[in-house]
Amino acid sequence: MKILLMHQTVAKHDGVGTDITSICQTLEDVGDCVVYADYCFDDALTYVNEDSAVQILADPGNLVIYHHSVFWEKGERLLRGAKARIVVRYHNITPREFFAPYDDFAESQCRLGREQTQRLIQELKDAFWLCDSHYNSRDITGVPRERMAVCPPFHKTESWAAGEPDEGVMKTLLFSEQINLLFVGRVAPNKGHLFLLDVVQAFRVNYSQDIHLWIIGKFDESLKGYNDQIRARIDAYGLQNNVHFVGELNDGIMSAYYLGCDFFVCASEHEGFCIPLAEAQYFQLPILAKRSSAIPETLGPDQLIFGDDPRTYAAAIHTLYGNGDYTRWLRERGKENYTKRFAYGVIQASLRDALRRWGLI
Amino acid sequence: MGNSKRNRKTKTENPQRPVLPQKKADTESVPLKMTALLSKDLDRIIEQDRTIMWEMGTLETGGRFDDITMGQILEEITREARGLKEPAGAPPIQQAVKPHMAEPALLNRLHRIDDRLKKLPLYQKVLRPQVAERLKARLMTRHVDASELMGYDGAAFVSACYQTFLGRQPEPEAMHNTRSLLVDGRMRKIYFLMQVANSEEASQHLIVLRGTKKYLRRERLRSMALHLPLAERLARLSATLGALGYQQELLEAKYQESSRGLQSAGRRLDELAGTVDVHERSLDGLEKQNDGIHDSLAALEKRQEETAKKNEQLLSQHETSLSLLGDDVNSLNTWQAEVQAEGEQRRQRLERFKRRLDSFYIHYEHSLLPISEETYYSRHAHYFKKVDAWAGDRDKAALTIVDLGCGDGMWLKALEKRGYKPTGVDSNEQMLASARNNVIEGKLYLQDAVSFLQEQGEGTLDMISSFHMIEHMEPIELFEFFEACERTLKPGGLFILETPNPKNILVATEQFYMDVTHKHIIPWELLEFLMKDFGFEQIETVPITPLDYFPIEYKQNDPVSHMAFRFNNETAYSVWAVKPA
Repeated sequence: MKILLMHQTVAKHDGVGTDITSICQTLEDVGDCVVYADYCFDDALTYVNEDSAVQILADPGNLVIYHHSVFWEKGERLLRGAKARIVVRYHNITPREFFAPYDDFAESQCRLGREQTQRLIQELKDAFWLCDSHYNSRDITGVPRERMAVCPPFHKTESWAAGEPDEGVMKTLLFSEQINLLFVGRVAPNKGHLFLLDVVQAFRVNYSQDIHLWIIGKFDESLKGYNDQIRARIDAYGLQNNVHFVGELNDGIMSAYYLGCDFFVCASEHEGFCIPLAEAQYFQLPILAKRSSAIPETLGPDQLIFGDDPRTYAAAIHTLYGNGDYTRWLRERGKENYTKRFAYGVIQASLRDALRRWGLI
Repeated sequence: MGNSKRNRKTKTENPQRPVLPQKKADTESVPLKMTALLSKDLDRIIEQDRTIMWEMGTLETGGRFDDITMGQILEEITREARGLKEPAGAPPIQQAVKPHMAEPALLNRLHRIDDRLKKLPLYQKVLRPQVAERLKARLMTRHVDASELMGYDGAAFVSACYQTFLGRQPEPEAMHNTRSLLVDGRMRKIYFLMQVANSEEASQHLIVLRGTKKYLRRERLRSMALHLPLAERLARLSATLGALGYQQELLEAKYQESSRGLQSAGRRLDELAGTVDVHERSLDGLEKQNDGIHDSLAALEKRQEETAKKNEQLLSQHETSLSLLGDDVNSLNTWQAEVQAEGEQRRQRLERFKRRLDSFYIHYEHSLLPISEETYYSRHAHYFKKVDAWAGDRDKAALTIVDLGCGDGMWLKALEKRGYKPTGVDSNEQMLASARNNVIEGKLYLQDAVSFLQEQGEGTLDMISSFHMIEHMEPIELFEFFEACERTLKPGGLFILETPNPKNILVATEQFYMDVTHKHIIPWELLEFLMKDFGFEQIETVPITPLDYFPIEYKQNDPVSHMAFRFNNETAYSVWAVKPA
């Protein structure tokens, strides 16, 4: 049996790319895994051209796992004529409202992507839907429950976290006297960067100037308006020395930030899963997060989730920083949640269970 | 994995957990602590953390933290959050009015066509760039309707115009000037909007302003209406009120800024006060250090004085010692000179004695112990037979024969006559001079026997003879002599020693002492044993030269005969031996 994985772009160090690679590894004993994409940046996978993809799709004995996270017209067209068994891996698409104030193209892509989701539901009646989270599965209306399953996205935290952390970053963080907050996520309007700045400023105003926010994530130059707002707020608050955008990144630097920081903060307003939360729980970094979308589901029970008042976050940082028992308690709960739900082996088992239940393997 | 800083300020200490670095409170000791921390092994910190984390990483919490609940944590956080100040000073999120794409439907259609065609190499490489260049301006141009911006007022209006068409906020001065112009009516909003939209800076952003006609029409109607007195007064009143409102806004903004400035100054003063405290403490510390340094300096000076005094004393003692040493040296020199003088005297005495002895000896030999050549040969005839028997068929002239203590050379002469070529050695210069008259071919050495033998190589001599020499030696010289003979003789070499016979009473009690240089008389048995002990074999003792002191007819078992024999028997004996092969 051939297993064809499809997505518009496959890249390393990307959530969907990692999911595709790990699914290939998980199912390598079941069939030959190949990938079809418009843009291929991961050399470890076996790619096929469009004609070969069409041939695979034409065989009812084959399996197609279509990763749906962006609007991809060609992908939809190929699926329409497919006779192979189809699994749609739904990673969610950001609602257009987040990008509307900043970029027409991004907004249109979001809108088209969501419209495409509905078309796939209606046109692929025999498809199975594998969602990253229960929150995502709520978008898939009209599909019978027996054709839906939830399986968290694969990540390679256990793999890259086993390497040596960057010594320079570790020393900077561990031997400093300041409180270090960490956020991981690209600079996009749904990620809540402006709120994080409010949290930092609330702490400075009420407690101490010695607090730093480390943001790991790339800027998107097409979202200039959002980028300008971030810079304007930093200037207005005077946070030039407190907020740091981490540029160059590798596994060692990433590990070092997770190990060296004191808290992970997340104020995203829309997430389909939020892999950085799972990473933070693996590294046992206490998490302060905003209640929105899939975040409470990903965090699990006994984790700190707050609303829209930055003062609450500031108070939480102050309270937890002074109480080691509380932070240990939170870290243990986070570790439990990760071990039970997001460990690599657990996700593998979840994927195989779903496919087996559907009779696909 | 974990963070060592997360274990700080623990309320309940677990003695089994490693204690990790605590948050410092004392700013003065930061450099020292930082150095200490930096020198700590980072790998060890990470390993400690990993150990802690994996200990805690079991699903079984084991009853730890049973008294902690999420509700408790949230309650404490909520209580803490009450009364906190809000973060002030955030600028309002002034979004630009989003320009719309000029022709979105066309753009989408073109995207689809491009998507299909870009597989073709010719399109991808040649046509696509040209098409993109031509359509760029048209497709990239966006438009904004004036109504979307005219809905703003005041600073928001100015900010929105700048943000929309120029992609930036206005400079503070530009904002102020524009607001002033707008509030007192010297500039109308639509004209300002058009000015910004049509500026050179805005032309780079490809955004077109539309929908201005109706606003321009309104402005024309307004200017016509202003010719009416009432309308003009109302307009002026409105402008004045607007200006007053703007002034109030500016004053409020200045007040806010002043308040913020005062707060900031207050915080800065607090920080400075803290810094001053730190510096004052540092200064106190420095002053104490300074006092300490002064005390140390005084102590050093005092030690220096004491050391100088000690040095003077030592110098004085040293000079005294040197003086005494000098006296000792002088004494020693004097003593040495005396000893040398004494030694020289002794040496001269010995030399004088030796010379006198040598001449005495030769006179003594010739006077008291004269012997003719015939008598000598007759007495030693059996010696020659023995020597010849030992030599056998060998070339006699080739045999290395040495006679030690050769005296006047009679033995040498006899051997030469028989075809041997012996060498003679004697330490008596006058005897040797006499021997030169007897020895024709052999060499003669003025040297003592032992030193001569020490100069010879091992196993180089065929025969050594020594007549009436060994009784002149002290035991130590005798042993040295035997060692030297044993070393230098060849295997199978012949060793002949002749010495006075102590079995003859007259020899033992009187004649032996006629020679002042005789040291010890050596009995037969002793000499035989010496030969044996030094490794020689085939030892044979040969008496020689009977005395015949008084005539007697010997009878067996006759004591008188026995006693007479002790007076009449040989005066000397020789021991013959061979060095084993």
